[in-house]
Amino acid sequence: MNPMKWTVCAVLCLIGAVTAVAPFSAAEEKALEAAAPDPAMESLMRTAHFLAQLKEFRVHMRIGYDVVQESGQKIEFGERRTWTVVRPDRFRADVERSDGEKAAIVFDGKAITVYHPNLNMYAVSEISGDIDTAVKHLIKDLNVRMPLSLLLVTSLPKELEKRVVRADLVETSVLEGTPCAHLAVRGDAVDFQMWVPIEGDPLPRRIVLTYKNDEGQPQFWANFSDWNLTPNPPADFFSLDIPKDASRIQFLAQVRQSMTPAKPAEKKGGAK
Amino acid sequence: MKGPILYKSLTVGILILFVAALAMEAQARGGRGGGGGGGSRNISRGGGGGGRSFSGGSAGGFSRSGPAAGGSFSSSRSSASFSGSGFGGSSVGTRSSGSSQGSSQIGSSARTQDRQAGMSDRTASRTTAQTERQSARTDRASVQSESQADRQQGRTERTTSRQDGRTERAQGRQDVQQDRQQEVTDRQANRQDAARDISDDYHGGYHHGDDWDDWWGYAAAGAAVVAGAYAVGTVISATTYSSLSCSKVIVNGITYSQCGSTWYQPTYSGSDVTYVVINPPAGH
Repeated sequence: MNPMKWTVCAVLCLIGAVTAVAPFSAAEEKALEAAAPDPAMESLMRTAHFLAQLKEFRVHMRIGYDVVQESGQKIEFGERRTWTVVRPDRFRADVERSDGEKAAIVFDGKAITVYHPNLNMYAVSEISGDIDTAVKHLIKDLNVRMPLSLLLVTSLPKELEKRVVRADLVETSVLEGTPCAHLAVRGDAVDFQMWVPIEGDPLPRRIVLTYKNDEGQPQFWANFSDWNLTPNPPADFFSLDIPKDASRIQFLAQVRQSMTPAKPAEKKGGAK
Repeated sequence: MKGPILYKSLTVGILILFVAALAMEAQARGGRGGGGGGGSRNISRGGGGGGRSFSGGSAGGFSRSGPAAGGSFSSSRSSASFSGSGFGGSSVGTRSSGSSQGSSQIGSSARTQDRQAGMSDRTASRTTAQTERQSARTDRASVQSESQADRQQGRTERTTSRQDGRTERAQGRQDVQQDRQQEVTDRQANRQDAARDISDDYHGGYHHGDDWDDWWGYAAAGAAVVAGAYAVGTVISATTYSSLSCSKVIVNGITYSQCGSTWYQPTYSGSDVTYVVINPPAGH
């Protein structure tokens, strides 16, 4: 072949190859991504919908979380929590911290009671409604710590849609003998990972939250075990057996409110 | 004969370059289209690790409160506030938020100042140490330079070259130290901003927007601070309270504590019982 023709032929081949493998434009790429099924997001939302529609459940959690000290040193604390949920309006959390402190938080449809047996003290805030209302009141109005509270509310799918920017499937990993989809989810301020069984009920086995914008990027993790979707708790399970000599105290948020009344428009819930 | 060979060589060269460029592009894009099953993207398992070592220390005195303690799926300290004034140190912010919400600002201001003073002290001491180290290095470099110059008259060029090298390294070290100083100053500024921000947030309401699960929490003041400041609204921990001599008083079914002339009310906050300084209850 004539050298000139050979070169022209090679250059044409090159142009063809470049056209074939050229990167998609940003718009095309976005459109393709939108059109393609997103297994990670589907898996996440399947879990969200499944949890939101449960009538009742009980689950145990082993929890750990980092606290970045003023010195910059990162310290991990831990606790065990058991949730017992009977929708629409019964909820109980039993907590045992790593330092031995215990607490029970109970909502019976009319009031939230927090009891500290070690100190023999309890606080009550009257609020009627469903678990969603009670959980929001507990955190927003009473400033009580309730990790992973989002998993308790029926609006979980909507809440996640609002927070999740993107979800990826990392791999299939085996947790306690169960193959799970390891999901990596990105949010504006918090990234999280979730492990959900590939087969059977999509109940989370593990969650890791990363507070990426906070100093030291502390993490919170929870390992879930013994999911029970028919706990059938006895009726008195949601009324605490508080000793008669226990001291009734108020929530700090309530005391603060009485010291500095909040603006009427911002005052919500049934804090007393 | 030379013409065709040259053309072929050039073409083959271009093809090799093109293939290499394609390979690099594919690597940069994370192996798009290939890799793990189920359309998973490439996420590295490696890296990270390291971190600080645990050097022991006293068992107590560590804060349990911070952004990760809340186990929330949202955080008010968003990326938008990172570049502005909202990025915060966890413990500092926590303590600030815990103590500043409420009627009394005296205790919180004092604590904020204490913390700022503490951080300034640390910054100052780091700066002094760095300056001293720099000075020592300069002195050593100077001594070496002089002795080399005395002994090695005939090797002026190489000596000069070494000195240049040392100067550059010393300059490099100074730059690194300056960077570190800047980093420390930035962190200090961030903590102060966080303290102010969270204080402001709590005055304006507990939470941002619709992210109701963004728990931040209160934390109590330490004993050292409380010793001199008994402002109404100051919160102390149960541990600090236990060191005081108090008597329990029940008024209208609510438990209070009188410790000398100061009245406390036990309250539930976060996941702890804390004690807040109050005005004496009616009739006391």
